[in-house]
Amino acid sequence: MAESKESGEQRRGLDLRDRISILVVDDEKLIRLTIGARLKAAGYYAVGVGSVDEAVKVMKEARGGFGAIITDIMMGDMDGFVFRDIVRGIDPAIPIFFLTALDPEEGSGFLRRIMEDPMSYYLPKSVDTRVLIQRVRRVIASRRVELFIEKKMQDDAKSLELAANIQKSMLPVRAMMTPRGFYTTWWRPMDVVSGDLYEAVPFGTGCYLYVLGDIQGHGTSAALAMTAVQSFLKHLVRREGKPIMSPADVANLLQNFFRTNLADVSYMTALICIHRPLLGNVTWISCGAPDLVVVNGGESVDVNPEHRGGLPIGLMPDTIYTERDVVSTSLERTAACICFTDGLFELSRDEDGSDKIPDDFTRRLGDELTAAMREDGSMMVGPYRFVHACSESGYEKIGDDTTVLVFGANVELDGIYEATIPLSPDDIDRAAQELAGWCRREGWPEDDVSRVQLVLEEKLMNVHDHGFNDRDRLHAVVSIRLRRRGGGPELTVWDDGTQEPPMRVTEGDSSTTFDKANMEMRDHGRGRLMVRELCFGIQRMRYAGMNETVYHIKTGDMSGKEGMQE
Amino acid sequence: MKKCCEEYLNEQFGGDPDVVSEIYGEYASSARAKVAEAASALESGDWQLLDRIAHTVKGNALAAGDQAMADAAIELRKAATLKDAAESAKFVAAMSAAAEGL
Repeated sequence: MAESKESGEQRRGLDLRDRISILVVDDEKLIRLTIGARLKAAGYYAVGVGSVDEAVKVMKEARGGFGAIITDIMMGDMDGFVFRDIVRGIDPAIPIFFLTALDPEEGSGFLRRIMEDPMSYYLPKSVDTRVLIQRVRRVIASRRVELFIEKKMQDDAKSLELAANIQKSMLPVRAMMTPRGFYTTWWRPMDVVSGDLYEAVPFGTGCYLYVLGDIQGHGTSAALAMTAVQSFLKHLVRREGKPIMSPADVANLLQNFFRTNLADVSYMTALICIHRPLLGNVTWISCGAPDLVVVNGGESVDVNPEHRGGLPIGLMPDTIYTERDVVSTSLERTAACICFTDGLFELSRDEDGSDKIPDDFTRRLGDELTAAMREDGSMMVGPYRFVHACSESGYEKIGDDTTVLVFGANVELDGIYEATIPLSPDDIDRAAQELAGWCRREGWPEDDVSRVQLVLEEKLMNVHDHGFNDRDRLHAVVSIRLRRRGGGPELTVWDDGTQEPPMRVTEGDSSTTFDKANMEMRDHGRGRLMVRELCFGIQRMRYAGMNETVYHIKTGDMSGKEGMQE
Repeated sequence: MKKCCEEYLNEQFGGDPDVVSEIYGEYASSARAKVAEAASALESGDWQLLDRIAHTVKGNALAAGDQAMADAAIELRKAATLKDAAESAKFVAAMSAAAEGL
């Protein structure tokens, strides 16, 4: 036990914040006295204890109040290394000095054991005061710098997280489908915040304005400029006066904004498109950004043979965009327009970005996927599928902020129902009614319609309740596709909420398997045993941050004569 | 106060007489007690305890600047490890002599 004189004077160090306290653990009072006196002379508070039990008690009381520990290795009640294991459970990084009379040449291996822990140090018992204090001071100073940096990084991380949330809240919803058109996006910062932005605004009669911007650089400064431009765009589309008729108008307004507010600070490459689905046309301008890619019937077409376009916005103060910079492209009904920031070219197979994704691979993949997704009605998750396919080919390292935006006319495909639904109970209810209406128009049996409605409502409310936090839910949307496959309804739901546990239950699996899977889902707040009664199979996967759940819904009479498939 | 200890402790503790006196006093009483314990352990043939006591004496002697005591303790550890009663007795006696001068 610590002597009263020692503990009386030295324990006061526990209550003081302006001087560093050092815990001295040795069963020999003489050692506690000599080390304590040396530390005290050097300006530290030393708390001396004679046993490991007491040391642990004092450490817990101090709650991280010690700057270091000096301990003997061979103590009566416990080995110093066992004591270290206990300490590491309380404070994983506090420096521990092992003060010992053992000779390193004795071969006991204590030096090796000391070095097993990166924050452990050796001190011989015969150590000179000057050397002792120098070592202690150096190690503690180094640790304090580390703690300072750690705290600073934690603070910075919190600030960045807040900035990222603000950014996300300023972006439009991930995807939108209207009676005339659709758009869908994939937006990913390289770090936490992004210099990429996109805006999608309906205006006029069935027209849509899409702006995809990439602020120079990435990180915090680019993110700040991004939020400024995003705010401006939101204001821009609500402004009164002359209606926006051309992408060049928007480019000039943005150019003016940069010149006025961000001159000499930043510039932005941008792709500005005005889509008129009713006219089958898109007019667009590239301001230093990759050209628009238009995929018609599975093959991208050269839409800018004259290489029209302008400089990045804000790069030069006197740039004026004119109609000569604008491209007008006719679109087939099923054409898909793909915009992306040049971060897409930075996808790579390795950390240093030297094995980048080849351009022709990107183009071919884009063409193939776009055609396939148009056919099977999964266009709304196109960018996710694309990024996933890149990742599957090894191009999974993101070397820059990256955004992909796909838009086009809303094409009703025979026998396929598609929708994108905001995650609110009212919208979910409305979506279920619309879905039921479509099923009836398609002549589906009423029992099938009921089952589909129930599964949809159950799933969407589940995503609503468990897939997003309160903040993100406001901007969340879910995409769905319904069709008949093998005679029965097949409902696919895509959501980019939290990851669901992987699951695959198919026809023929035992009830136990299905129930077990459902129980596991319930542990994650995703349990819906009712679905088990309505489906004969569920498949779930996640790619590029998107959850895809496919429900194979039973068909037939609900009174008990239902079949797996017709 | 033993000359070597006085010089060492004054050097290590900046000549603070209170600190030097307290530490020396603790060392002297501890050393006497440990030497007695060592003699007892030797008599009973408890080599492990003898080794442990010698280790403690060595550490304390180094901390107090008593090189003669430390040297005797080091030799005693070697003898205790070899369970050599004669050699052990020799160094317990050396430690005892060093303690008498405290």
